Amino acid sequence: MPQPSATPERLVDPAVLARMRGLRLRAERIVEGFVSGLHRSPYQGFSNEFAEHREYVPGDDLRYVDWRAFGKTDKVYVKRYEEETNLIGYLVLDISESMTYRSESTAARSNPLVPIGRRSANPLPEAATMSKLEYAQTAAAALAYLILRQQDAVGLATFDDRVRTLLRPSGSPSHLLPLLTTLAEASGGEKTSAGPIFHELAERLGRRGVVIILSDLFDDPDELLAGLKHFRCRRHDVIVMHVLDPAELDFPFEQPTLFKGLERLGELLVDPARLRKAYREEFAAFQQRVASGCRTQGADYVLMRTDRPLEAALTAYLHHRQARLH
Amino acid sequence: MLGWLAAAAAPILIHLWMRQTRRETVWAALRFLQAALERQARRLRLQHWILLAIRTLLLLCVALAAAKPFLDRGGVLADFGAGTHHVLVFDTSLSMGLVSEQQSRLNRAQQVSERLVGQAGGNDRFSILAMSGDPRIVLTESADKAAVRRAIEGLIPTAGVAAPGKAMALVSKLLNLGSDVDQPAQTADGAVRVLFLTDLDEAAWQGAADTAGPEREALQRLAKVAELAVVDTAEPALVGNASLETLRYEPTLPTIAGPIAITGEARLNRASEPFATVAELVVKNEVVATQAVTLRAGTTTPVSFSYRFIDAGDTAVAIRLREENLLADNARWAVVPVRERVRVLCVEGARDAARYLQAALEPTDKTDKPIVIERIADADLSRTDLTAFACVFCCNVAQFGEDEARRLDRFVRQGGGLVLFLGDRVQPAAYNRVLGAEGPTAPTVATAIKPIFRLASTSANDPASSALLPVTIEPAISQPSYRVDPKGYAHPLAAPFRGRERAGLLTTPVMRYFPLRLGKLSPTRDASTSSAVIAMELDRGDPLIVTSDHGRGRVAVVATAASFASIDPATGGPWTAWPAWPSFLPIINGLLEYSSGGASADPGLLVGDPLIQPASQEPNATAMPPIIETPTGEKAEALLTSEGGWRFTGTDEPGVYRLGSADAAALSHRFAVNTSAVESSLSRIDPRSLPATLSVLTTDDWNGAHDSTAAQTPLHRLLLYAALTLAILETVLACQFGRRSA
Repeated sequence: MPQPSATPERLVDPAVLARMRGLRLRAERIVEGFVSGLHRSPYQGFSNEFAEHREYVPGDDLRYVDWRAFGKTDKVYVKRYEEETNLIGYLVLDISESMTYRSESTAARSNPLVPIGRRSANPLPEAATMSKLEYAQTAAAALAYLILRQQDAVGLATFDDRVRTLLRPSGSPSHLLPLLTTLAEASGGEKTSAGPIFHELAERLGRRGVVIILSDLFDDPDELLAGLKHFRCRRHDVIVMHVLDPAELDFPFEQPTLFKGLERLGELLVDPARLRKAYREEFAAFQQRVASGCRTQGADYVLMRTDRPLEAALTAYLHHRQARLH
Repeated sequence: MLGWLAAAAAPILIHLWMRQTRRETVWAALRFLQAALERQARRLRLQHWILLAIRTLLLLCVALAAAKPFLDRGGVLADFGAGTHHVLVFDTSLSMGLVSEQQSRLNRAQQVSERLVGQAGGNDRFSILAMSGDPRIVLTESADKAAVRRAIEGLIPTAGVAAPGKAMALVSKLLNLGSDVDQPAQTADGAVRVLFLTDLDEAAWQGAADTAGPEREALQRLAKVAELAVVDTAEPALVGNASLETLRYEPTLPTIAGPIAITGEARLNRASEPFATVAELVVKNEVVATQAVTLRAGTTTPVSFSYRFIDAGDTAVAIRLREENLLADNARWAVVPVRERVRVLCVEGARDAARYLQAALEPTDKTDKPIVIERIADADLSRTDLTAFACVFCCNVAQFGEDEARRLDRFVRQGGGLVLFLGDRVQPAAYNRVLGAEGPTAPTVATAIKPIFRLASTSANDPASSALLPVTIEPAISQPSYRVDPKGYAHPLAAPFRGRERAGLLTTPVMRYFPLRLGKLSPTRDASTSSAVIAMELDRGDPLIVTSDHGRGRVAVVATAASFASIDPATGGPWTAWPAWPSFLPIINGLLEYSSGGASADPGLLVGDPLIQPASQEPNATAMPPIIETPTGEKAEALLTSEGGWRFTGTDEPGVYRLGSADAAALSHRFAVNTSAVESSLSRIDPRSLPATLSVLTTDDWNGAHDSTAAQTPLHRLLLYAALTLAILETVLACQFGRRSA
């Protein structure tokens, strides 16, 4: 089983993050808060920006009594402020055994961390230089860094057939290190059980936020879509980043191959050339099923091929999301 | 040894090498691979089913094509277009009744035609003709299939002879009777099909096989407007047939005075082994004698019976063979005119002129003699009732009065025989005048209704226009002749002498005689109507005996005398020594039989021959057509002809027919009708000798692939095309499926 070799330094590529700077992640619908002052909350709260006065009623916090107004009017008023709330991003990372797959190819000409301008366009499917887990770890680190740079809070959950780690969201810059450490330590787990996990996380995550799921979603589509629905019921904004290896999409094998299934799925000796079309059709149907299910649930679906540049996928997604919110 | 070991290890090495070439990899999306495998398996199963169906269909097409099936045009497409006029000409002759494998040839023809009718389209029409004897139209251009079937089922084999030539003429007439008389209407789309269903009897179809035959010309004409075909209904196996070909009796003037010999000739045709059977003598429809006979293939076997008749009169006689096949030709019928005695009148112009003649006719002194002679003087002729006599011999009568001439003429016309022996008293000019050129031309009183049977094909012999004396008698000459020319023994009078040259005929001495000249009648007589025949000649070529038919009787003229009483003035000797010559007795008896046998002679009627009675010249002759009773007991009336005679065409059965006037209580006269030996022979013509315009198929061919002549479309070519298309489709699909799988 391939073991992740990510380190905190590698996960946060400054070049990648530099290209992502300036992008704003905005929550959709009911996610309160704003990023860099652009997200105004519809709710009033106790913040730096005054909103209005109201008469004191017993139980109000005495810290918010406007003593100056009391001196002038002999009436006790409580100051109310517009509450300025940060975005809470929940990174949900699939660390099951299937995520450790990386296609084997001697012609790995694609490095997802190489800037696009310096890379030649090759229409042929290319083998990934990273496993899906490494790719997802990198993406999660980049997103965490971005969110923290925007002074929003970010949390992290990893799971396979159960929730392995759960870091509470925090907007503190110092939160980045334990988060990256947790990411780096995440390794291949057991069999995927995304559906029940999503239900569990939906219950355990506190405030509403943006749930960013990074997984290959190799589970029963109905169950995982039910889990997504649970997130939506908890009024989370859900972004599904479907991390797939190019070999899983294109099935480029030619010779008779003995496929040894991860997650204890057994072995299969087939002639890939004869089976390619049927496999692609089956996989496309699965992918289509998940994508359409996400759209139905109001979740965003992003396909992330591990042979594609990571920043290209993130940038394209964020541009698309920004344009949709505005 | 090590080499073999290495060879044995090759499969293991190959297996290991194949294992080496196999890749192994971990795989996360195995569930999709499994689903793809199942999907692939389902698709492969579907593809295999498709290919299996195509290959099965391909093999089915090839197998069906090998079976050469036909598409019945009597289906949906049949009701479009003008349809086809099928003219089915059935051979209903005797040989079509030949049975083999419990099925007659006509049965096979009926099956073929009924199948054709069943497959015909709604617009097809059928005409049915029966081709036997006088062909007849059974059904004229009918689209009613039920009526057509009834007409076909109603056909039965007759005892007649196939007549394709007449049938072709009738077909031409039938086609010309279409809506457009000048142009056969059915030729608009070429949809006229003439189908002869026959056994290709050799005698019947020889005319079609001969390049100059009339039937061939008729076929060529028909082929211009119709498609012609023959369905050969003859059985492939060899089926023999026994038949009785001839029947004769001896003497030809039978009496109850003595037995007569009745002889038939039996023949076995188309058989590989001898056939033992029993021959029966049938008299008055009762078997009176039987005889075991063994017939050998291809040879004629005589069958003889001796029988003495009890009663006088016309008696039906037959010899019959016991045999199952073609019953009609197993028997031969004859009507024997049995007399109590044969009475002969001898008229003497001089004393003892008939003395030797009487001696010749009555060579014995027995009282129970079959022949009774009555000698009278010529003066008594006018007072003698001639009707009681079978024959009148006139010996050296000088001349005849006109009344005598008329009586003799009527006597002969009614069937009597007249033999004129000449002599020194004869006045030839008087003979020529009274009996010849200026003699009686017609009977003066009504005569009996006994008809004159004559075949339609025989030359006319108008009894009214022929003279009683068939020759012109020239003055007598003394020209000794010591040799008689029998003229090839062709005449019945000379025939008994064939092979018996020492019987005295050839050396008969004649010193003086009357030269007889034929064809020198007066302008009022038509020589061409005379049936005078020279039976034998003298040295110089002058006729010695001339015979002629006259009415129902016959006349014979002998150029010399019948006795020694006539003296040659040149030599003082008798005209001839013939009365003392060995040939005299048989000639005299021959003259009696021949001349008397005119009325009773078997006309040789065959099944299908029409009977024709010319118009009677008698003033009081009745115009009523006779009633004719067939052998099966049915009665029919003959048809009156426009000339005043009558005609009967219903001689469809062999046997004895009875005939009488419509107003007569009894049917008094009989005549026999027999089958033709042509049909009994079962000889067949080679189909290859028939013209190419006439395609010939056997019934098996017809049943297997008859669409070339019938309303069916062959499917084997279509099936082969379908098989080829399927083969191409299979190849393309297999390639396509292979590519998709890849």
